[in-house]
Amino acid sequence: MRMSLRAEHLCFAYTAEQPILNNLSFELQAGELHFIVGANGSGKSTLLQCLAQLLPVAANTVFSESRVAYLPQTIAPCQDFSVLQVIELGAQLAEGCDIKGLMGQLKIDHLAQRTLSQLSGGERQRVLVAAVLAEQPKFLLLDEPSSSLDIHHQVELFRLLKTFCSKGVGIAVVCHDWNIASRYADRISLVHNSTIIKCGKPQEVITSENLQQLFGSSVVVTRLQQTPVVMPAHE
Amino acid sequence: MNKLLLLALLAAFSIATIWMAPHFGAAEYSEQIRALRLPRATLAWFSGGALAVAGLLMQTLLRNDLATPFTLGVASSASFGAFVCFAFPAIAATIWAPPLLGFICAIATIALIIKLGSSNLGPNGILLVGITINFVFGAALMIVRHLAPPYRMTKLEHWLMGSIETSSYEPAWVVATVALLCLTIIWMKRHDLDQYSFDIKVAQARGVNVTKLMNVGLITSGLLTAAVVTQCGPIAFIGLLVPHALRPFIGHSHKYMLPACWLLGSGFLVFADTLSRSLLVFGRSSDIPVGIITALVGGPAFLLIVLRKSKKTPH
Repeated sequence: MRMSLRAEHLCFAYTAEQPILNNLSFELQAGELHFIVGANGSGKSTLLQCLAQLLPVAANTVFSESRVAYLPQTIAPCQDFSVLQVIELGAQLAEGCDIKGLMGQLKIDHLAQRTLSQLSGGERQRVLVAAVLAEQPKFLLLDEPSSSLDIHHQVELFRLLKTFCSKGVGIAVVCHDWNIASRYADRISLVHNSTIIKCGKPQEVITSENLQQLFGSSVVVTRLQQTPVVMPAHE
Repeated sequence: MNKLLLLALLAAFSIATIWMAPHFGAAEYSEQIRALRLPRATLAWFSGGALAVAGLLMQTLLRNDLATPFTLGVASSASFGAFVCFAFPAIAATIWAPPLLGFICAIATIALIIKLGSSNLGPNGILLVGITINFVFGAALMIVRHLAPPYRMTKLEHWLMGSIETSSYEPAWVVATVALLCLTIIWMKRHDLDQYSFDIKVAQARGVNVTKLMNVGLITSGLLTAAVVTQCGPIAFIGLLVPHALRPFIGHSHKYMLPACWLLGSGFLVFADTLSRSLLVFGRSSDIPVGIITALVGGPAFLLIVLRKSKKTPH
C-alpha cells in the first residue's frame, strides 16, 4: 500500500457560525503533485495548516505516517539571516541533505552569503522553497510558493517539484494560477464553500462548469492539445 | 572569522579579566585586599554572563533588537522587592531579605507575564505587557524612594545605579547556581531558538512548540535577570550591547551565540567593574557604580554597531 497523507471529515471554524472547513476529506499520495485551487477565502490555506497539524483539529482527522514540511503563504522572517543559514536551518531537520546541490537546482548558489534583506521577492521565495525542500520531507505542503515568481521561475520551480515527486515525495500546492495547475498537476482539488467539490485529473476538474460555479462567467476554459487553458472571458 | 576561533579568543579575554582584576587598583600588592577583590570579580563575571544571555534570549523571543533583560519589567519588580528592604530596614531583618523579596517579586512578575501571554498575545503583545509592568514597578519604586528615610537615600541611589560591592562569595554563588540551572535549560532549547529566531510560523511548522519555548525563555531570562538585579542592582547596557556586538560575527546560531554572549558579557562586566573601582577622580579612588561605567562605555560602542549595521542594510 502506498504511503499517503490523509484527512477525513475535517472540520474547522474560528467561530461557530462560520465554518472554514466543513466535513472535508483529502488525500495526498506519495509521489504526486496535488494542486489545491479555489476562490479567495475558500479555505485552501486553512486546509494546508490543518494538514500540517498547526490548527487544532480533532486528533483522528489527520493521518500521516511520515514527516510533513510546510511553507506558509506569508511569513516575516528575520532579514539578517544569510541564504545559506536559512537553508541550513531546514537541513537541521534531516540528515545528509546536499545543500549545495539543492541551491544549484534552485539557481540560488550565487546568493549563498547574501542576507534575505538583500534579495528580490522572487529570489527570497526560491530560498524559502529551498529551505523547506532541505527538510527532506515525505510530504510537502506549499502555500502559494510561486506567488512572487516570474513565469520562467515558476516553470523552473514546478519542474523541480516534479523531480522531487518522481523520488516519491507527495507535494500539495495551493495555487491561483490555473494554467500552471493544468500543466503540472497530477491531481487537482477544487475547494468551494468550505469543502472539496471536485478532485481529479486537470482535464476532469478544469471545466467551464466548475469554474462557472466558482467565478461566474468571468473566465472561460479552452483546450490546447487536450490541456485545459483558463482565459479571462470577453466583456 | 572562524566561530570557534572567536569563541577561543572570547574565552581568553573572559578568563584574563577575572585573573587580572584582583591585581588592579590601590594597594595592589596586598594579598588580603587581593583576596577581597576576587569575590567581587567572581560576582561580576557571573552577573555579566547572565545579563548578556538574558539579553540574547529577550531579543530572540520578542523578535526585537531593542529588547533587554529589563524590558519586561522583571528587573523593575526585583529592584522594587530589594529596594523596599533597603529603604525600610525594619523589613530587612536579615541580609537575605532584599534578594529574597526581590526574587519573589520577579517570580510573581514572570508568572503574570506568562499568564497574560497565554492568550495568544504574540511577541509584540508580551512586549507591551512587559513595558506596562515596567512602568508600574517604576512608579512603585518612586513611591518607596519618596517615603524612604532620608538617611537611606545614599545607599538606595548607589544601589539603583547598579554596583558590585561584596567581599564574600555568597552573592556570586547565588548567581552562579541560577545561571547554571538556566543555561542548562536554554542550551537544550538552542535548536528551537534558532528556528524561532528565523520565523515563528516556520518554527511551528517544524515542530517547535512556540508557546512552551516562550514560557521557558521568559522564566529562564527572568530568573537570570532577577538573580543579578537582587545581588548587584540594575546594571545597564550589557544585555543590549553584547548580543548586538557578536551577531555580525557569529550570526544567529544559538549554539555559538550562547557561549559567546556569556564570555563577552562576563569579561566586559569584570573589566568595567575593575575600571570603576580603579579610576582615580581628583586623586582618590572613586568606586563609581559599575552601571555608570557599562552605560558610558556601552553607549558609544552600541552606537557604533548600529551605525555600522545601517551602512550595510539597504534602504
